[in-house]
Amino acid sequence: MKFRALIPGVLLLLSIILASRLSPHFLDARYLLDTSTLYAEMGLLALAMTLVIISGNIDLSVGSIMVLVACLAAKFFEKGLGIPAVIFLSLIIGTSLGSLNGYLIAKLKLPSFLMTLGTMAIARGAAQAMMGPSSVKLPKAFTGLDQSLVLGLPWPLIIFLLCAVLIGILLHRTVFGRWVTGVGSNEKAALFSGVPVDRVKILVFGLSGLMAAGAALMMDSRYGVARHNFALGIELEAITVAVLGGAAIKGGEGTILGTTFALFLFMVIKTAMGVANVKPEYQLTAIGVLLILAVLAERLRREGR
Amino acid sequence: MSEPTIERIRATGITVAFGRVDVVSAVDLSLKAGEIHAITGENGAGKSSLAKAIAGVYRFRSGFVELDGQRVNFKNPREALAAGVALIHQEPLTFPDLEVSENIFAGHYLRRGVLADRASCRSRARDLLASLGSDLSPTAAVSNLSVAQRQLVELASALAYDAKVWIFDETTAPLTPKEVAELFVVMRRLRDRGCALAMVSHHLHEVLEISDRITVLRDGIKVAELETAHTSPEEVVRLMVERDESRLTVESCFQPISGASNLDDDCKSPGTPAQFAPLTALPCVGRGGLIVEGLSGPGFRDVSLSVAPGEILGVAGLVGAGRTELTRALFGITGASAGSITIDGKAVKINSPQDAMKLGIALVPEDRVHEGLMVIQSIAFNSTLANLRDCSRGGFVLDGLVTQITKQFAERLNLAYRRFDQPVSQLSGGNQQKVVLAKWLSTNPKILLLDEPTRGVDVGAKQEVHDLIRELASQGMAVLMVSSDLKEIMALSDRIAVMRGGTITSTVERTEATEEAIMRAATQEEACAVI
Amino acid sequence: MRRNLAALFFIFTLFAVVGLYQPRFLAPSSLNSILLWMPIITVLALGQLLVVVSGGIDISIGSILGCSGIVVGLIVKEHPTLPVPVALGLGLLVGLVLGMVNAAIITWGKISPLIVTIGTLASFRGLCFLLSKGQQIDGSMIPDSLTSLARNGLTLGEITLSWLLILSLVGAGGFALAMFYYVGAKSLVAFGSNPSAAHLRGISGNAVTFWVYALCGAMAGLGGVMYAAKFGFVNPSSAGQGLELTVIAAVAIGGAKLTGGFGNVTGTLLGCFLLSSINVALSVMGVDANWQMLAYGAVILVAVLVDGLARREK
Repeated sequence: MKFRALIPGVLLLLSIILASRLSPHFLDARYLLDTSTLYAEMGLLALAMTLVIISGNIDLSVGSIMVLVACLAAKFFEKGLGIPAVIFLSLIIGTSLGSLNGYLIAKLKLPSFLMTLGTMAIARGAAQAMMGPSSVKLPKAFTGLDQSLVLGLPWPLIIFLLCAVLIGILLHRTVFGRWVTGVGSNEKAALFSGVPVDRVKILVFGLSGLMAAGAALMMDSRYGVARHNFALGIELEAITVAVLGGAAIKGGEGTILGTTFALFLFMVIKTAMGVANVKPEYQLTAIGVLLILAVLAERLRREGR
Repeated sequence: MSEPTIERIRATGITVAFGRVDVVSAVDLSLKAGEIHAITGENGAGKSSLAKAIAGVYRFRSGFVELDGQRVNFKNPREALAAGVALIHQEPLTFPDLEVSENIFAGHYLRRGVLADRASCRSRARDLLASLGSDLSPTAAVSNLSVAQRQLVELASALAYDAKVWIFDETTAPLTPKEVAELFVVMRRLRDRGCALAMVSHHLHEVLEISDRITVLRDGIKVAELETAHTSPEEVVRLMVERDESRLTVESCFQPISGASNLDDDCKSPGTPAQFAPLTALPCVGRGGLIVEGLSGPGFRDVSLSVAPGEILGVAGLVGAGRTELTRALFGITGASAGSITIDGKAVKINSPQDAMKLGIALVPEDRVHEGLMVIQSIAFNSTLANLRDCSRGGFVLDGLVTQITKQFAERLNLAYRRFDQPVSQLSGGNQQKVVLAKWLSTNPKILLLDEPTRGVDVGAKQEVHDLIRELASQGMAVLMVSSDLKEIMALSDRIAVMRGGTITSTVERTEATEEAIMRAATQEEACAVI
Repeated sequence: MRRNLAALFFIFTLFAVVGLYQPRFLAPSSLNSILLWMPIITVLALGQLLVVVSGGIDISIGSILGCSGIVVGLIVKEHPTLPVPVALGLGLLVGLVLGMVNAAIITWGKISPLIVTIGTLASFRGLCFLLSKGQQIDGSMIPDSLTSLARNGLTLGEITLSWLLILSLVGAGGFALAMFYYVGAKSLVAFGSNPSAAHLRGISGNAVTFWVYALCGAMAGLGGVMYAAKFGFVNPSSAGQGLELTVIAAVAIGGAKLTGGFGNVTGTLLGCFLLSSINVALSVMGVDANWQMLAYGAVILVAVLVDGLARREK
């Protein structure tokens, strides 16, 4: 069970070796670190998505919540709010939207994909309705997070790693983590074991919303501008990374370590495609195929047992 | 009626095994046209497994089945049905969104070319239902039907397949006596039409009433084949239950089926059958325990009962009598709409399993795989899920504590395991049940609700579970045990409550109870007066 | 039938509210706009209806529509004299092939249809670029014979029923008849209602699953040709993008049980009409197109909540 998380780790090493034949840049730590800033936002979504998937659900709305919060944050800045206030408000809004998803899924016993399909459209629709075709600039003081380093590491990477450690502890070392795993393994048995199933769902989706808000702020800082059509399809990438990392789509299984490895694997694959001049549209094709292959591999592994 | 001669099904030397345990061993069975053949035996005797093996649900390890002289080996119930062998389930398999006629003809809808012949289907459905003596409308929505009506729909669909061999697997269990009588009328009709019928049941009076021939199984072995006309209830019971006559009496039921009954901690000393020390029935009013008054909720109504610390209250009744629903309400899974619950003298409200657990209530549910366990997770994970408080400090789970608690209860329950991180799916039914018990015992409950605690558990483990239940009660736990296994009820309970139609019809001291009286109370109106 | 009433109720409410606010919405011209929106949504919704009744979902239809539009666009560019029915047939075929890709992975890979079609949503969109080499199919490449399907049709007074609409309604009629009379549809509904019981009755779940996704793809392929006819161009990036939301909203509000086992063509048609009306209502009210997605999301959510509440009552 434990060494499962190492499979994406091994794949990561392999992919780095292969990619380095394509371009020696892949052996350059600086280059990889710089690249990582592009993926840290999606990484945050993937961490929360791992929990959502382990709990037996899926969250299609993360990308939309992320973009809505990103646009709202920009509007808040326009209204003259300070950085701490905007960060605080954004995180609150993201968490509330996520929790609302969870609340309705839990209380109305709705399939999570239908519910979040609806909120996916609503959140992005709200962003679109609010922003129209225009874009809103963010204050200088707030931008450039991806350019600044701490201990030689870019901020977004540090934030991602910090979140990975925290969520990893939450999932693997706490009572709540056991509850999440329990709900995903067998929801009915979890209920019969005194696990507060509804609360677990609300919290898991709340965490997903929180991470989406965090990702939104990082994206705002990186682009310096907010638009409604940013981060399109990012939920697809987050799901792909979580599944690549070993999160079982049926629930009950998955590790944060696996997701972390899978994120870097994903990064190397995408960067390598970029270096090899594969157009973004075809990269999209590849990601779709990757997702299906990852789930297929997961199923075959299960059957092999 | 003339002596039936045409043999439809001949099963020879059928052995069915789950894992390493043979649940049916080298059993022969012959089903003849125009005959109702009952397969009976105690719970766990293998009667249902035998029937399911013939109908293609289970594969048999050895032996063979012939249908009309041809060897057949049905891979699934579908093939069996296509060949004219229908298995009628206790809980009928229907399509809730479809109307009756569509249910009956699902999978072989009448057609003209590629067109569905709706009119013919409806009229044929009406005919089929009429031939079963029912005036159910072919256009009725199945989601609104009762269990008995849905069984009729399933019967009609087997009839539509022109089934020649019918296997009724505990079909009467969820039915009211009136519905059972109606089902029997249908079964006789089928018999008189020349069908071969098999009927799996442990309800002796039903077996004697409807069957022409009885096969008695015990521990997976066929012990007798009797002609119903030339046998007596006493003989069948004797064959069903024991090797010697002493088992016939009620008192003998307190004797363990095999091995020793231990009130001390050591569960592992098999020896000569020990005399079971009768527990002193404690007065069930006053200070402690669980008192339920006039409780109503989904599936049960106006239930009043009490269980004192140290007492085992057996709850008997048929499937569908509301027993499982009662335990669920007491555990807070479904709410109660009226009535009161008192625990240790204090009126309490139980709205969630968390409430129940805070009050020291534990529930071992009926359906182990779906409600009791997470089979993909490990023994340690399952054993500690309900008691994470003791395995954690400040919300953080400590592996050391998890292992310690798991080990403590694994040893106490004599669990057979390889590693604690082994998935529960790899365990046998009995060991799985021990994991469920470990999960709840680790919470140190005051009140233990058991719903069919030994269903699907092999004989050895069953004995261990029984010993454990007695031990827990002797240590002062209040135990409420729902069971369909009358032997189990009689062997363990201090008092016995019988439920029928969602309410308790009678409560008796064990010493005054007989299996027959309980059965009557569970099935009949006038039984209340008798007990 | 009660479920169809919900869609009708929403339609009446929409017309009453928007009509009060902006009487222009009740004029024949806006009805014409609505009817012009309907055909594409309708053909896609018919395919999706089958999938939903079987208990699944297909997110990839927008991308399939794009691929089919591109392929047919490229072909008619080379052969401008291609008869219209052949073009429609080609679109259907392209959709069928892509639908079969979905179907094969779902059926034999035994992977959740949501994940598979999220994956192919992305992959097929990439395929659009691959096929078109990133070039848009322009109006100049699409022959008049095709675009006239959208412009011309039967005229009843001030109302025009375009050939596209008629085609889609004929399709809907066919589906309705098939749902009612075709034996296979009985198996589909039974499977969606209770897969394990259906298995016992000898209904092949694999066959049902395979063909619903294949057919859903085929309908999306047909939608691709209709898209080319209606808009006169096919952009590899935007053609059909996000349409899956509209379509799922239409099917959901049309009373199909989202967990499978129940759904009817009449309700779905009402759902398609409602969503087309919302589109037009937004523009009549002077709300810009940016609100569309919000409205679709709201419709999906309402349908999902209604479905959830209905189940809770039981």
